[in-house]
Amino acid sequence: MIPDQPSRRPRLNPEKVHVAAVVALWTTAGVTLAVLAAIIVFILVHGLPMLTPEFLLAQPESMGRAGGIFPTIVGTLALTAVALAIATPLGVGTAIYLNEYSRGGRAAAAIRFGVDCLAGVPSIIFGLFGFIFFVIYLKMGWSVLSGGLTLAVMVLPTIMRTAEEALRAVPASYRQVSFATGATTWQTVTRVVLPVALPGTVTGIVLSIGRCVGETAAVIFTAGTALRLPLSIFSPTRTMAVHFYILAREGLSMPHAYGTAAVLVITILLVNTIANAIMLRFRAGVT
Amino acid sequence: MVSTDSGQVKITARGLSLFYGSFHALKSVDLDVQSRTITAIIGPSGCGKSTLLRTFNRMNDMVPGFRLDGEVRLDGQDIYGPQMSVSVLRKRVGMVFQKPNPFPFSIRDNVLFGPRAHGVTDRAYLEHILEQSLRGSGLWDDGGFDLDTPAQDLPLGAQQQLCIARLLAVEPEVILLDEPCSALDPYSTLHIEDLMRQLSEAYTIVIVTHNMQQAARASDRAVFMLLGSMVEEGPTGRLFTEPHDERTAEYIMGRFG
Repeated sequence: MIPDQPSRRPRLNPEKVHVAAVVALWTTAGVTLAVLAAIIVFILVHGLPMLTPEFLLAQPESMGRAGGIFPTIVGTLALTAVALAIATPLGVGTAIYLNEYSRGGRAAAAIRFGVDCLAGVPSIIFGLFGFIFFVIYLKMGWSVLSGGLTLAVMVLPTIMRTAEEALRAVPASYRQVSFATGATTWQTVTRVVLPVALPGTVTGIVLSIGRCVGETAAVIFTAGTALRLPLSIFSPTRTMAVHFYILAREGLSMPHAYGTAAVLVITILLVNTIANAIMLRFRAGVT
Repeated sequence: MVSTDSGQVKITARGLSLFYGSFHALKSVDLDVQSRTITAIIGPSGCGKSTLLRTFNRMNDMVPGFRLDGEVRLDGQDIYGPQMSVSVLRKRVGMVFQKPNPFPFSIRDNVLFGPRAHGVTDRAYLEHILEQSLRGSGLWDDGGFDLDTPAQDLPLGAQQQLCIARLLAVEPEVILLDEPCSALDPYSTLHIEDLMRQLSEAYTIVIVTHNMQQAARASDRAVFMLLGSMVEEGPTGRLFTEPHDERTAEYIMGRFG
């Protein structure tokens, strides 16, 4: 027996649903963009009037109420450089080991699990760890080195995981051809896999630069808050983010705080732009 | 190059059995591959033809659970023996894969990958290798294109020719082709078959194909594999017209596979 045709519920008009979806998605994208733009514009409007060569290149005076922020720029760059110099080889090296050398196994799983746990730890915990281990136990004191090492530990998961994802995205056929040509694993990694995975790997490094430049909690505990120009990696220092925090928190000078924030934001924008430009150039060369 | 050693045995397999874990992929294969001829390995999917091909340059070694019994010799030398360096073996026995797989580099860097990996640094010599290899693969004549263009911009057939050029650049003795035309259109396929014919004057060629017409057209000798065993081997014309084994006859008449 042929069943009766089931009565159809009135359906939404697919054309109208389509239009509604486009409008909704366009709105979400628009809101996202607006929030970002609002923050950047707000900071630049308040901060840009402060930006003079003197502000960038002079020593701060009376706790930062007057003068410039030169030592904090140097401190930020030094801390970030130390952190990346340590975390990049460690993270990328671990990713290469896990993806190209180890054949799965428990050790690899344990490393991945540990790294993922590390990624979820709040930065203040890294600060306390850095304070107890590097500053006190290893007697490094509040210094660029202590702060850099702490930040290195903090960004290690990001660098390692993004590098690993980038390596994993390299087609297996490239490795096969390379091996079939008689190349060793090391040659395959350095001549084929890494060049192809570089854009993804650099993305992780750029993200990490952003986190280092913007970090406060972990830095206050390990690099200190000294306003002097750091002359070696054993000197204590204050980063721009910490300087901004202290100026705003202690109510020392809001204009100077905004000025510092503007420099911070522009630095991060610059880093991203330069990284993108390098990447485009690199891709044009390789692909 | 004069093919004086044509008809001599280049590769011998004796009692060759191969396991992936408990899976018995090759069962006691005895085979002689003759120098400077084209040998086609045919058989239905999963019969072990690619596995057999890959034992000749040890590309199965990395598969988990791999185990091998019996022996494979290249010019009398045991390729699974302790004196054999895998790197040197793969330089002598090169491989072309099913899907054209050029690196995402320029044409030049693709061809010169192998020589550079094997330590050639002399610029003039690298340029010489580049031209010879591209000529050998038939790309040079088609050329006129910029050697610095990305290899992956080439049409698929030319990509496969480039993969052959990349192989020729390390100056191999044996060329293994694993269904090299299955991703190509008929015109490019014909082109690759002509190329194989030319190359067989100087190289020993072993090709795995599931395309029976291709095996009949383009090979001198044929090997029929079934369920991991070698059923029959012989001159291609004879194997296709008067197969000695019932199963070979059924397969080439299209009753299964």
